[in-house]
Amino acid sequence: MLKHLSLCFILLFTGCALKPLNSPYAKVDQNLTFDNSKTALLGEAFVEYWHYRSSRLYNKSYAFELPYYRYLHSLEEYTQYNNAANADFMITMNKIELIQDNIAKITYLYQKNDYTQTLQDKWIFVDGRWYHKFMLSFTPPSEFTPF
Amino acid sequence: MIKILLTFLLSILIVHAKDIDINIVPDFSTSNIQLLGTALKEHLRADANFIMDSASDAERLAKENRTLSNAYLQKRPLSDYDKAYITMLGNEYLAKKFVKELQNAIEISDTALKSYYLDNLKKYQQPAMLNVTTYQFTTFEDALRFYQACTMKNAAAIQAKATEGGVQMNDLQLNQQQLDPAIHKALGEHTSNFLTYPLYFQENYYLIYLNNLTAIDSHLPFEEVKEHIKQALWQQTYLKKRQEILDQYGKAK
Repeated sequence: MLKHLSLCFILLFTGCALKPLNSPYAKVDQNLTFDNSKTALLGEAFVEYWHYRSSRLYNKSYAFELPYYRYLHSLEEYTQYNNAANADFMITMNKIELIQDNIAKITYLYQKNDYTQTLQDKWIFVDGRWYHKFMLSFTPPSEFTPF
Repeated sequence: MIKILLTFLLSILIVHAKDIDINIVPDFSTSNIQLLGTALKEHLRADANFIMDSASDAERLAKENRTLSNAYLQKRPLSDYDKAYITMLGNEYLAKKFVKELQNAIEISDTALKSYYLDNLKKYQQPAMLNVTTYQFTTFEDALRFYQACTMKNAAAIQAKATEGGVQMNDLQLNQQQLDPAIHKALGEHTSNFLTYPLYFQENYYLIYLNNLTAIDSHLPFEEVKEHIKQALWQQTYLKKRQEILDQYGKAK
């Protein structure tokens, strides 16, 4: 309760503009504004998460994955899988849509050298925190959709 | 029957520290008949999906099995195959019990369960409700005659005709997911204003008019499906952990 009150207090005086981590790898598009404290928290979590993924700090990004995913997959498996993936890419968050109260769809831009692609992330709000839905690949099979 | 007999024989299974050994001899005591009856009831429920209500019936059956198995054992000794088969059943029974124990001991946080629930919300969507009017007839001929006369196919006209003919009507809501297969088939893909052909249920014939369908925009509550989610997650991890468990206990002496 105290935690929630403190959060409300902070947000009240910062106008939902929590400063996300200053990362060379992940950012929020400057035109994107957050409607409320919940989406502001999501903005922070998103930037932090992708910063860790792009920096190969998988033990840190792992903590952002959905709790049930972490129950099913160990950090070792997660790290092993991600080690084969790209790093040092740039992520820009462009759009947030709340498709349910606690489920958000984020559209973002992935950039690596000259390559750019618009992608989507699914985030879920559970017990006061946003968690990322881990996808097995940047290019999942066409019939696969997270939503 | 053989399964029941074997269940009884398992009652004299002896478990040693390292292995399971079966020693089966005729047993004429009556002190454990009540327990055998209870075990038999549970066995029928779990393995044959048969509920035996009466404890005395179960005990009587257990007694009969004992009498027959004693007679069998007095005639000839058990073959090695019989012993192996009974041992195999014993192993299977104990292995299942042990896995169940492991399952009950696992701890998955509510946060993890909730995250699965929210990520898979579509699975927990409440089923739509079908708003129908049923028209009841005692004979197939009456039902068919009414059906053939209902060329207008609109709810008000059909109801007026039913009232005129003194047909018994009922307005009902049916759960789409629990729909009787016969009704499901008769309704096909229709979602509103559709009259089925005559259907036979409990000694009466019915025509069912589908007025419309109410989609329920809500999900089964988390608390209701929590246990189901736990089972689902455990099943997924168990496939992975199976070998780990076997290695762990296979090495144990």
